[in-house]
Amino acid sequence: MFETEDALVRAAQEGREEAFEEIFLRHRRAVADLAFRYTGNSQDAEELLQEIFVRSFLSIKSFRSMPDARFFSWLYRIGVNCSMNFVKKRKSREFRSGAAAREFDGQASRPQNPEAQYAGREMRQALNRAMAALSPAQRMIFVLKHFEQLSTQETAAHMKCSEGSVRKQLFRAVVKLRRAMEPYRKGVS
Amino acid sequence: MNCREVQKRMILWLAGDLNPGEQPELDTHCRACPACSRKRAEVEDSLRWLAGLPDERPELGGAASWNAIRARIASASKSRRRYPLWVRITVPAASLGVVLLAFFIGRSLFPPPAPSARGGDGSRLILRHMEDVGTAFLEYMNRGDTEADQKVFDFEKQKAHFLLFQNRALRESLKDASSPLVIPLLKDLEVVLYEAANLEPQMPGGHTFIRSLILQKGILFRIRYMEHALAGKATEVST
Repeated sequence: MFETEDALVRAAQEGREEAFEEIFLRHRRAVADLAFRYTGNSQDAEELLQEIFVRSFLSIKSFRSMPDARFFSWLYRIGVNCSMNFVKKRKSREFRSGAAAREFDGQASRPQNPEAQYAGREMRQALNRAMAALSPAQRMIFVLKHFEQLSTQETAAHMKCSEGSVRKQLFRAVVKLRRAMEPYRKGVS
Repeated sequence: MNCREVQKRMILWLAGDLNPGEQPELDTHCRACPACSRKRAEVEDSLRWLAGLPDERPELGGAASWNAIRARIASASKSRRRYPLWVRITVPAASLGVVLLAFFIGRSLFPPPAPSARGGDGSRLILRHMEDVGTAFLEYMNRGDTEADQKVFDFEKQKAHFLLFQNRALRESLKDASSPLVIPLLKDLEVVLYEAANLEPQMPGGHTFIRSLILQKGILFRIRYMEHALAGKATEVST
């Protein structure tokens, strides 16, 4: 229906709903992965996914197609910004209620079931709790570098910071995560 | 290569950015330096740990998700399109223009009294009052006791009341500062206006009585004189 991505984006900029739907179908997988890896749970990831697409469609007229500017990069950058804002808002709510700190301290450092700690699901949950303790930027850099497999240069471009800063933040994030996951790591090794 | 440089290389290594040519140099240093060797082991361990981390990719973004997105876009677009952009810009601008226009027209029609007219000798206020009273008294001079004249009787009474009130207020405000000619004139005007304001319709020859008072006190002549005397001053004040 749309021969090129440019044609698809132009149609979306004209407000054609089928173009929005096509963009959603083409990119939902990548955006969903980013949202899930960043939030760590399906419910939040679904909410974030919708937020990212709504924001993108509402501001799609601001996208200017250039030889070196791909639509997906633009969408992905909105995804990165939305994710960090989403977690900041969530974190401030949890901080007010004290929920995140209780959850992280109570479970990640003292696993209740030593047998279950080997299971991938438990491991993932522990990782999520450990990641929740990182700053939004550190968390995003870790997600982009480790899970999304972006280069340092691409990560720096999305985060609007230097490559050196990306490396340092990643190093700190890994040190923090390893420390938080120590009980699980001993079990694994 | 010193320990500080090794630390930098390790950060690069963890980020996957270490140039392969630098690896042997790093290894050589770490073999000779127990502290850096420990750090190197930690980085290696971290890389192994990272490689073993679970990575789930649940199915998200189904039809329900698309429907929710579509609904949110439609709702946002509707609220944005409620008024077109030109309306959102033009209406506030036009409203502001009307308010400013009204303000300037109002100022030109009803200019605020000049500071010297409010206090001091009040030339402009006196002049305006003289014009008002002079016009009203000229009407009395041309009025007869005919049936047609009786029809405007009530209106004239109200006007006389108003001028009487204005006269008293003016005399009160000027009693200390005005020229000796103004206050006696205002006193005489008050007498005539008082009579005019209290005329009764059934009173025979009411207008004739008022006319005689105006003539007797030389009111019109004195008003005219006062207007001439104040005209120059008032022009200065108003300019």
